[in-house]
Amino acid sequence: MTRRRRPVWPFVAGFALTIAFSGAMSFLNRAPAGGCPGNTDEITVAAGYDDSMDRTQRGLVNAWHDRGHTARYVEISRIPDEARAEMAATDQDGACPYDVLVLDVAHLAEFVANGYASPVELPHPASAFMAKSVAAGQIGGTQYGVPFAADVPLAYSIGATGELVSRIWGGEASGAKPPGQALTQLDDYEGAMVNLIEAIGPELVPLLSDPGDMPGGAELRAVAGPRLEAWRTALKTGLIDGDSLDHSEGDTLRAFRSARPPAPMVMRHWPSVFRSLWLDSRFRDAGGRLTFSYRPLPRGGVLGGSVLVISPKTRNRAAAESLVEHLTTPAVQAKLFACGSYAPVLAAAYEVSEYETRQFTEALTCLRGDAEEPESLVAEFGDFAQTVRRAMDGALLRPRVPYYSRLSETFRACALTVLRSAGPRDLRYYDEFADRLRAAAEGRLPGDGSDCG
Amino acid sequence: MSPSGDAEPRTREGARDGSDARIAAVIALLGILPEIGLAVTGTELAARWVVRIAIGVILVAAVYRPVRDRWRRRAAGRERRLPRWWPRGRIAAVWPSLRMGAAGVVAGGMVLALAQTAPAGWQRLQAWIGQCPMPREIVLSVPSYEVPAFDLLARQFTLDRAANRCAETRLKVVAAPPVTGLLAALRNGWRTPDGVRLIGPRPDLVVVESRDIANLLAAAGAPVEDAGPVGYAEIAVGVPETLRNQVEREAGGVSLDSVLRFYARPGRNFARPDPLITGIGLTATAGLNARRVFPNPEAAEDKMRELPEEMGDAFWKDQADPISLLCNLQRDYESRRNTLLRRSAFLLPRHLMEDYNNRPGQICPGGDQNRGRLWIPDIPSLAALDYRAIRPAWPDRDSAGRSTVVRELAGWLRARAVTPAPEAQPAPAGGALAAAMEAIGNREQRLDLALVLDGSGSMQRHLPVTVRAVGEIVDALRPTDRISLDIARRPSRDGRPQIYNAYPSDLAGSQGGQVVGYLAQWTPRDWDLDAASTIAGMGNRPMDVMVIVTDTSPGKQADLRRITAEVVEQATGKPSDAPVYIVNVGGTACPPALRSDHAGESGVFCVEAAGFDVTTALDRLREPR
Repeated sequence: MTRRRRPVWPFVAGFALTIAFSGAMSFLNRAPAGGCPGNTDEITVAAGYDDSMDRTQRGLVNAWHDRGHTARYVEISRIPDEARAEMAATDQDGACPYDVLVLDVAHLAEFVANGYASPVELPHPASAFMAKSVAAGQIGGTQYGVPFAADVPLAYSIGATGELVSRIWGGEASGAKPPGQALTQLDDYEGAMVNLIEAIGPELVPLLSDPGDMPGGAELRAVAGPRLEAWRTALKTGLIDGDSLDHSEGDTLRAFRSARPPAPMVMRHWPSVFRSLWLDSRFRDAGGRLTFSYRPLPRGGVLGGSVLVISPKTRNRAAAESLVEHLTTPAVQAKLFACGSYAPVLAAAYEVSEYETRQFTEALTCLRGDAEEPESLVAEFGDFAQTVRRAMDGALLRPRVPYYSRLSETFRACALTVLRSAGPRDLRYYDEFADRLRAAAEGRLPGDGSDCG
Repeated sequence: MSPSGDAEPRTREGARDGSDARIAAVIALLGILPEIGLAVTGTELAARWVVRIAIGVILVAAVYRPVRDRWRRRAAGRERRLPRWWPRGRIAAVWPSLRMGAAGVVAGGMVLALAQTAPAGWQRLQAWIGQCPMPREIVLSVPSYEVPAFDLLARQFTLDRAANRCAETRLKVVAAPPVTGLLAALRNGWRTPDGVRLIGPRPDLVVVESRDIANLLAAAGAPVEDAGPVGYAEIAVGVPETLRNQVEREAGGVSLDSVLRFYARPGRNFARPDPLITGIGLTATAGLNARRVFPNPEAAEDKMRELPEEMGDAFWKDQADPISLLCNLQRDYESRRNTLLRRSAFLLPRHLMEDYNNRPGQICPGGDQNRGRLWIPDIPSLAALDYRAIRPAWPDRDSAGRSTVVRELAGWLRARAVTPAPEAQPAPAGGALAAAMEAIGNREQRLDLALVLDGSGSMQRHLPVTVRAVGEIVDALRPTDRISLDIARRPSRDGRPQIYNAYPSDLAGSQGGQVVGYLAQWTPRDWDLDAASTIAGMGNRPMDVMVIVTDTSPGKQADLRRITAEVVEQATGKPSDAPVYIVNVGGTACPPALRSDHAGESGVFCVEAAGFDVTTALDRLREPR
């Protein structure tokens, strides 16, 4: 007797129906593109709060239009991590992501790992951009972020601070105590991390850049230990203002502006504060000359700023790319620099002396203001621009790892504990410091209880 | 014994039947895998119910043959026929096809489940073999004073869900807007009133202090979904030790009513967190009204407003936060500065007062290291805070995965909530809250202040005075007052007048600090805009008072002394009757005609920055709404 044949078609039909039903449900549950808020021809640009004079960045984005497309600048929060949270939460699941993100360079690796950033082509030749800005927009050799605004710290000084700057940021460890005091930002936030990298020096960055090969305790102690110890001593002796341990950028600027020190003073700060010092009559002498000076940090400052990231789910990639191209033209970059204090990412925008011939009228209007001798102001700003450019050339990049936020949080918790300690820390402490860094670089949550704060 | 002639076919059939049943059972077991996958990943599968039905069919198929065979064996030797209910004819004929179809559905479900669970499985595997997978970003909004507590809970939730210390979620805890601003925030897409900025990251879950606040929000049309209760706290009555003896000596013993009536008398009062900022204050007020200690909610409001009025501007700010309110007692208790505060009962969550009593030095900056001297009588609580989670709808970023995690978070918080004691007072009903809110609104003396800065380059010389003057103005505002900031200027020598709105009108409690911070980098560089044009430029903007900070442009075309008549004309002719204060930060005195003793009915006053008593000036303008 032969075995009875089973009918195959019901199996195939059942299989196909299930797949089709699931697909249909997924399709129906997905919000249609037309259901997204706002105009379908509008590119949404997510960013932190733009607190520059006259909201220059917001104004430029909102004024853009191209072949029927417009842009809307969505300001999320003044706190960078809150802006990051909104961008990540919206892009993760939503059918209506922000088309373009003005993303802090520190978060680019995380967004790439999550798939929230798509590869882009630079809208202008790479040689037109500042090399360090281009590098900051790359992850694993692929360009994901188009440089938009640069930020690199300078040392702003009142009086002769050469020795002081060398001692604090130049890696000099010995010698008599130089005169004066330094103001830095060591409150427990991302700003402290960049200060710590600058304190330790460029050797630290490669050490933290490979999540799979983090340093051991001995290596970490050899690289970071001496400089952390030097800063701990400087904080104790007053070479660095003790209040720096509780200061963020705003506090430091307030302290610098209100200080009338008999001794020299130096403040580590971003180029964005230059304008408020430059145009403040208290920082000019009777002859109208500036009473403060500025210079790059001797061993390089950490590059900050933002990149423009296009979401892989953008509804109109061509328009998004067109907006990105517009925001990185020399005229726009010059305006952002002169009016909004955003340091440019294009080399051409640093040539302030050429603004006149290149007809960057809006930028020049911002620089001249209602001054009686506007050209001297333009010349002063040109000198400042060249200093920022030099600082950009020597800038350090932060470790570009997906779990940078966690790595930074862990590093500064342990390093700030060293700075706050009564005495030097031993190898056992650095072993734990290294263990925690290794876990953080892999994205693991910290364990219970630790000497590391 | 040789097999009978029909033995072979029977054996074959039996073998086939047995293997069919086993295969069916295996398929059914495999079919359960998607369900297991769902339980593990917590993600939805569109075809889950179809798969369940198919599993049912296969299970029936698995049971059907053994039952049938068993029945047949029993019937062997007797009459070999099927029972009457056994499917015959067409049903029996389609049964194999139905079974195969069900198997197809299960196979499809397995493929879908595999497609859906594979990433989660891979992520779990990654957590053990290498770098952690990236977590899902979730934003949780809680009352501002609860942020530290929820930060700890968020950390615990993250740890509980972590595999090999790899977090599945990254929970960002942010402070919610004031309770009265929550509805506007939800309706406005979590944006500022002018719609230009978000007020922070949009929350996936919002914790409010009471079910009735959640209901009020839903009833008022806020696009929210109730995610259930997530906490519970009692609002108790705390009595400063100063009056403890008197309270205990009251006739009839110490009861909730006796304590409340004791403090309702003249010369005594109640200290509560600002009911327009926190749900605690609102619920406590509704609870007090429910005890009928005062004839009506308005009378209760009049009484309770006496305390901050007497304590001064700083106390209005302290009231915004329950801890600051308590710490104020700590400061004042020691210095004996204020009598009324020490003669007031505190209406606050019991656990906060106990915390304050146990470690005032830790929770109050610079506080006394000794035990706090606040007596919490052993009487029933005044009201209850039944914390509720609500889930705002953000269609542009919603997904099944996000919904699941957010609901799990709400459930996790619920599982850790304190259970109310049997004798605990229930939360005031929604009607009571609404009535309290209306009475508070009727007695509210909010001011809407429009601040205008002179954006001309000459102001650079007066920046320190300007920053100080603006700081004093912001300090004099109460958290529920509103403030806007505009810059008056001309972009070029002959340019058109321009009023640039730097900050739209918003609560001083949340925006005041931003306005002062803005001035840290503000560098006026434009051309003068005279005060008359400034007043005209502000048009019919709603406001209670306009404050123009200027150096009065001495010696220029816009010199206030030259255009006094025009300024008065503009001020009297403007649509609103809001007074205009011109705060002079320059070195040249105000024109006499605009000084307060001469200004008369014009409604425009020029005051020197150094001599401007801003608190008195603003308090004169406060009237109940």
